[in-house]
Amino acid sequence: MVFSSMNFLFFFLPALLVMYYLIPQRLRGGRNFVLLAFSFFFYGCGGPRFLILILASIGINYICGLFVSQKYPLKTRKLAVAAAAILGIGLLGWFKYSGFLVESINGFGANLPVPQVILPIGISFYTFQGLSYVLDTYRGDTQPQKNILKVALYILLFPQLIAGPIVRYVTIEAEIDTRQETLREFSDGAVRFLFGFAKKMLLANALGEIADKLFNQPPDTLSLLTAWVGALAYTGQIYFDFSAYSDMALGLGKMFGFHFLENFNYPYVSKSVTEFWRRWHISLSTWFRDYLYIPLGGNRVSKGKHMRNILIVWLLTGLWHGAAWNFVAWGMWFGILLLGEKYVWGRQLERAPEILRHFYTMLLVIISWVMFRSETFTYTLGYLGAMFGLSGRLYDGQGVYYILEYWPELIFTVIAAMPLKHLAAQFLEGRDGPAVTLYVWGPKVLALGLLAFSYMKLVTGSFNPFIYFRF
Amino acid sequence: MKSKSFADIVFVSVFMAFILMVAAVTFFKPKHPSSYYENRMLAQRPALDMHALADDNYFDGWEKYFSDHAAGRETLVRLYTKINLNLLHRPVVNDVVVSEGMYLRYNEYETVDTEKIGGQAKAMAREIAALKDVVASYGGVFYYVALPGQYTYFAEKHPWFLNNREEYTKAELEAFRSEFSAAGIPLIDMGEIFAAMGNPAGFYSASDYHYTFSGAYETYRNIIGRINGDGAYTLPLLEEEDFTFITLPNPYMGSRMRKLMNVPGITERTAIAVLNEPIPFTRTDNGSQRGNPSVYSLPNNQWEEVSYGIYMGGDMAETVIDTGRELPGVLIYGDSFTNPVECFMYTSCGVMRSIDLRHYRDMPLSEYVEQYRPDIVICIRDYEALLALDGNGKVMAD
Repeated sequence: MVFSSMNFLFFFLPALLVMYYLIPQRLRGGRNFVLLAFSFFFYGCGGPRFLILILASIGINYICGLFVSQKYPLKTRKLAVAAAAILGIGLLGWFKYSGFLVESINGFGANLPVPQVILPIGISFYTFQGLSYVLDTYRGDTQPQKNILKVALYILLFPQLIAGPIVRYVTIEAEIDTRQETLREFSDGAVRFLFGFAKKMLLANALGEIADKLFNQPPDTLSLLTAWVGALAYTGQIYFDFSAYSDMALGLGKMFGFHFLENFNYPYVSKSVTEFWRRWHISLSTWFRDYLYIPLGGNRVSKGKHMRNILIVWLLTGLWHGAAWNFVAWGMWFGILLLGEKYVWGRQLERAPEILRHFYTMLLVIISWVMFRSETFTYTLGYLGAMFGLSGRLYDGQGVYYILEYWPELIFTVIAAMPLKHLAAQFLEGRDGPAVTLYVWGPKVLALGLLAFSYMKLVTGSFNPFIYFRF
Repeated sequence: MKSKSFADIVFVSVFMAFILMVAAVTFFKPKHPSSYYENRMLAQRPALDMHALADDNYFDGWEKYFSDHAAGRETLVRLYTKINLNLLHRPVVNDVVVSEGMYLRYNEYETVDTEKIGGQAKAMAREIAALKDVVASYGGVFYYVALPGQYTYFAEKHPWFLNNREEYTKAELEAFRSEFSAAGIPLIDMGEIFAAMGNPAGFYSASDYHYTFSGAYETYRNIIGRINGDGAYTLPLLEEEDFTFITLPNPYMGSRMRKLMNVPGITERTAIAVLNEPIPFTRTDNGSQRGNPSVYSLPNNQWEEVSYGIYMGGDMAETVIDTGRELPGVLIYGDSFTNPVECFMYTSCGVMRSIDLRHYRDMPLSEYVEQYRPDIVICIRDYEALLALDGNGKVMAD
């Protein structure tokens, strides 16, 4: 079940809200149980057969979490960490990477049967969440949770279950038992949810229509203009899709009294690739930083080892996003760029005019999304060739059509990618007179307006004239 | 602070009221089984069974069901269409190209593969030549009538940045004509004939893929002219003075109008022909004789919307019209372009048979032809379907 669906918005969510808030706040266990039961159902809707897998993941992390406690000998604790890592990553490896691995081996002439494994929804996210719980407990950052239902709630909590953000146990540990749901928080959460919902329905989906069409065409059929329209559309789609989901997750969390950390911070205003990765998918970057990069030595090692650490982290970041060589290349692209900014051109970049730095960053990021979206290297090269004029045509009707057809979405994409909402809030905060009304009512009225438009878009998305109408 | 609390109360109340009301209305409102504007059955409530549950289809089924029956769906689709048409001025709305007083079809951008087209044309010519041989074996004659579709007829009406399939149509027609000529199949290309007449605007619908009744009459005239000209048979031609064209006052619902939810834009009317001296006939559809035979499916009043389906009552698997006269028998087969031509053709023959192989399943067309041995067999297909070997393109037994 996705948040931007009829099932979720008009049946799952109201049912949950009613059931949850019917239970008095003092019965925290009751509210937690309702949340857990609905989260279980939420996951089951997307793939009932994978419920066993996620229950296994919960069990592994719960048991390993108990044995990494400081009260056990170091050897036992290390064994428990190793077990959590091997079993957790083993499951992830089998479901996500076994096919890719065998295909890659077959690429060298072997003829092994390729396992036909369906990727369980959200496995990359909940595997990392579970591991973070065990690792934080091992480090002594938190105590092991003896109540398996609370570990289950942490891992299964529906707002972040399927597409993140990767919430660390320490972030919500206290809130599982002692959170305070308030009208103010609920209202803020709902506003955040509706902004995310609108980003998904009104922008990401429209941009996706362009990107899906153009990235399914042979690159030699694309003019320079059309190739750029496709690349920019995908650049917008991936941001608005992903950040919308994070907005909705953060908003939903707040509606139930949880405070997840921000996952995106207007990444497309960045003036370097380093800055971009401080603003993009923050929960994943910090996970890799805390559980891989720093344990490897981080930057407090020799230059050679630091470069190795960076490349390992980015190789795995690429692979985390998908089991294919283009994701490996995408990860390595960023690894190399970050190393370049650290050791080669970073200082010159800092001295360059802001506009130039922004242009530099966006160009490299857009190229990275072309790699990310393309199915093969050959396609990536062909597409990039079209973007830089190798198809021999500057423009054609197709590119013009997409601009004219999607002009409202393209304009709002640019506006919504900039921190105008924050700037407006900052400007209005603390002022008197009508500014107060605007500050208080503005986001809420806007959120309700966006809900109306998003609902219209959700409903019209099912408008599907029968094929007969071709004739 | 006080005003913020009040704002929170109002906002949360409106938000909750909205999602609860939409849920209640969607769940409890009476459900229509089909959508008129989409011309399709709407999703049914999914049945709970272990197989669907295990396949993840069960909840997808609910999503489709709720989406198809969402509160205010039709109103919102119409509103969204209006916004796109009149406010945002998108060039393509609901897959309809909005152009100079005309609603055209949106064609996907395409790369023309002349080699593939050549192969398809060869295969199609082989198939049709085999049918022509079957017809010739008992002394009958065969004609193939090719018609432009709306996007070809009004190719110049497309905005320059949209695909009017000009390149594809050119390659297709070149290959098609060449292969058909080599196979000796008599071809009546109405595209060429209409072009020679200057492509009169009134021959094709402004809001539908098909020709108008005038375009159909011109096609009928040319078919009869060609048959009579070739000399094997002589059929009476229904001249313009033999009937009266009556333009119906009813609003015409072309398929593009329907896709645009009938949002006001283009006003079009359709016509029928009333014979000055009626020719009595019997009509049998799919084996059942009609009590009050007619070649039109007329509306009950002047306000009811009419569609292209008024001609012959829409597509039928098999229709037989018997005028009881000693005139050659004619078989027409093809897609829905055949229907308005049939409204004239029955006046020129003794028995007129009509087959639509998209719906007819009893036997292959070649066997049907051998069984009934019509003197003249006419295939009518539009340019888009010329190379399609399925439906009315598949005429021989495997």
